[in-house]
Amino acid sequence: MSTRITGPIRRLKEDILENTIFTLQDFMTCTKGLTYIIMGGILVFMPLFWKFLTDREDD
Amino acid sequence: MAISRRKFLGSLGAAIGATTSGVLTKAYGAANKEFKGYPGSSGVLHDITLCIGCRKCEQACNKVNDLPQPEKPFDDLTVLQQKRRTQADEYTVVNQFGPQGSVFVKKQCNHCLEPACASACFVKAFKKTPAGPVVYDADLCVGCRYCMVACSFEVPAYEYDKVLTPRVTKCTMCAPRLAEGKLPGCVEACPREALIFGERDMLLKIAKSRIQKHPDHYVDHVYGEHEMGGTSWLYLSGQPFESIGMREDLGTASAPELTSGALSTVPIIVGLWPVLLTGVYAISKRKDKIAKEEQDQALHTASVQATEEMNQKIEALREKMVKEKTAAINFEVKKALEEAAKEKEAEKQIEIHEEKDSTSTGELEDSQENGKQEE
Amino acid sequence: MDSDNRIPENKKLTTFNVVTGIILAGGVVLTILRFTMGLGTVTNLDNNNPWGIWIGFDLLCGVALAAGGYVTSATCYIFGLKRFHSAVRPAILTAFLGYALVVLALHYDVGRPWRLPYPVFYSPGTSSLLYEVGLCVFLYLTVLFIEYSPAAMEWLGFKKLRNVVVKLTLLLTIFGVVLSTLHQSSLGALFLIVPSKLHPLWYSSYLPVYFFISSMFAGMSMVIFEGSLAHRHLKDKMDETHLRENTGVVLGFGKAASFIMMGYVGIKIIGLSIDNNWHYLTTGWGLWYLLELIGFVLFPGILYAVGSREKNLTLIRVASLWTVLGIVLNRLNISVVAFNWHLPSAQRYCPSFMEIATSVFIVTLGIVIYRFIATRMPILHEHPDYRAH
Ligand code: SF4
Ligand code: SF4
Repeated sequence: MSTRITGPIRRLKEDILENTIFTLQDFMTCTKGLTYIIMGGILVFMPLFWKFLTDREDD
Repeated sequence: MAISRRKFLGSLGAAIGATTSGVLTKAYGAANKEFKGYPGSSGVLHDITLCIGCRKCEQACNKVNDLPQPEKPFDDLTVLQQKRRTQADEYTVVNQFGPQGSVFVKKQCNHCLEPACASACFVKAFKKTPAGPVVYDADLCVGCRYCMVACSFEVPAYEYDKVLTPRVTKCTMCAPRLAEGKLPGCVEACPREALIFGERDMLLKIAKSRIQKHPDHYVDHVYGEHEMGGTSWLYLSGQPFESIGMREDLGTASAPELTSGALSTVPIIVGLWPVLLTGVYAISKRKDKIAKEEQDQALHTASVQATEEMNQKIEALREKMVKEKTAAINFEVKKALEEAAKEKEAEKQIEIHEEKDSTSTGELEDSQENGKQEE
Repeated sequence: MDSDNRIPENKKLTTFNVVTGIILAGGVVLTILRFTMGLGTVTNLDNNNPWGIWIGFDLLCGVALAAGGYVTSATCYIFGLKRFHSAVRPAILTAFLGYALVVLALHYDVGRPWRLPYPVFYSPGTSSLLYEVGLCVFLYLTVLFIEYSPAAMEWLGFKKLRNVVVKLTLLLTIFGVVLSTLHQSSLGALFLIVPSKLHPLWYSSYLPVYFFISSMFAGMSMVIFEGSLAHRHLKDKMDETHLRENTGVVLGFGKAASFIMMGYVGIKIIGLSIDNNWHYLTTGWGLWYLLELIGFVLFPGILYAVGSREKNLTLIRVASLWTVLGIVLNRLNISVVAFNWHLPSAQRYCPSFMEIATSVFIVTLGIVIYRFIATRMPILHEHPDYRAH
């Protein structure tokens, strides 16, 4: 199956292959990667926000 | 009847499970998305009815992958009598089945559309390529062997004997040869066209038309069309697949589908646990504070009460004293009036009574001090 | 409870020292063998059975039994049950050592241990549950180290730094609980990918929940069990507060463990019902499953209940050991016994002598280090300079 497509069509094909997610596996890897970063952000933000929230309380 | 009922209950159970455990099992990140795999990717169709067990494919595989020579040469067909699986230096094996030993099945990596090995690998050493092959990168591999645990087809093998550079090994579908425009080694070597290479969609059509043309010859099932989410290798058989060593109970859910529920529970825990736990902490702290305040309050009222009681007692005592005093004085006055006649004796008596007064005031002061100490 | 069999500090050639000495020496030999001859020589692992007891026992049981750290610190600092305070330090120390040894054991098990940082720092395979486990274990080990560090700093006399770290207690505790929830459950979720290999009685989409819930009573039981060991052998290191609070800790955790275990039995039955697995119960596998569930969860759960009703500390301690064994049984069932149940017995895995010896070596190493630290640093007693109350 090595039909050689050349020129702009080939470039278009490569473009689609590169920028589309075709498997659930790739999708999970991608979205989970981003989600892990968000998780890190949440873990840093929440304590700081709690601090801001309770700053003025006298114990 | 029993079986279908059991099956029904099973699926009912699954449905209940899905709704009750909500977040836990079914809320996978890709619930509303469907992935069809790479368009135009290739695969191989293995028509088991055509295979004669000549081991030419094994030989070719050994050659193109530069694997070590086996103990017994490839034209020795007695090895077929033993059930074999893929090994670190055997990427493909042919096994013999059937009553007369007349059915031969080739086994190698099925190059899943949604590979379990890739889903399981924690360093992305496995990858499904757009062309079809699932390839492995030994430069990333840590050697945890979770990919081997995960593969339902029991394909990947490990170089347990290497000390410093053990690799996971499996069929590559000759990805390097495909890139050069060549056929996979085994397909090229097969003398009976039991293996044909092509676009997976095409192969599927060929397989189905063969079943349609020869319904007596084939089992009405293309193995690999849906197994574990579908595989790039497809199989046609004249015997039930279960009887020729190919499991039919694997189901159609792909590996990423099986794990996506658990994977998407993780971020929810990270999102909610800190809120929940801080809340519990705040509540328990608040309770402590209230308890402490109440305690203080109770202590305070108790001490106030104590002082009041003490004051009352003192007051009563004082009143009593005063009464006694007045009574005494009155009494004295009376006596003085009555016995004014006896002047000398009366003077002595008054002196004695004054001494008594001063001692009782002393007692009063003592009891006041005791009260303070109790506070 | 008397201190007769306590090991005197000055006598070097005690049975304890001789036995541990032999085991540690053997461990060194095994280590050399493992890293010069490869996995194939030392283990019975093969292509069908890529995970043996180094994963099933060292990783799965190690992590579950080290759960005492998060359970105890959460009880004390988040739920505000201050009477558990004296139990926190020993529990954190055990957890820290437990996780450190789990990571050590992984170095033996994986093919190229020097690449263990790869998943976190070089090529994260985020679709894998093992990635999740790896990341959390790495982070939690760090958290545990920081949580443990005040004890070391009090010993070394780093006052200022110690006070800074102590201020972080609540934050670290919350992180600890979050990370523990994640990786305890993800260890169970590792097996979600193989419905085809794990026996249906053990395979369930609830596996992550089962692992998380059972880690709670595993941790509590370890705290009780380890407390009774420490009581026998390290009593002279304990202060008034510790001795006074100990009964309360044992009773409290005994009661909590009992109740959680009943809940666990409940959700296990729900799992059977949801997947309609009743008919497996009459097979041999079913009997084995019932032995695990009734003999090693329900039974010790009831022991705990009776013990805490009657304030019978001995009974609770027996129950704690029983529960710990039950956890080991459960984890080994999932990773080794009921895994690959479909294969003919000739292709099944049985650990080699050297695998078992290596696991024993690693556990012994843990005990020796615990003893070293607990006899020197303020673990079982408070440092006189830093009294909490
Ligand atoms: S058959 Fe196994 S090794 Fe091959 S791609 Fe599928 S999961 Fe991976
Ligand atoms: S053994 Fe290698 S390829 Fe397999 S899952 Fe582990 S790191 Fe990935």
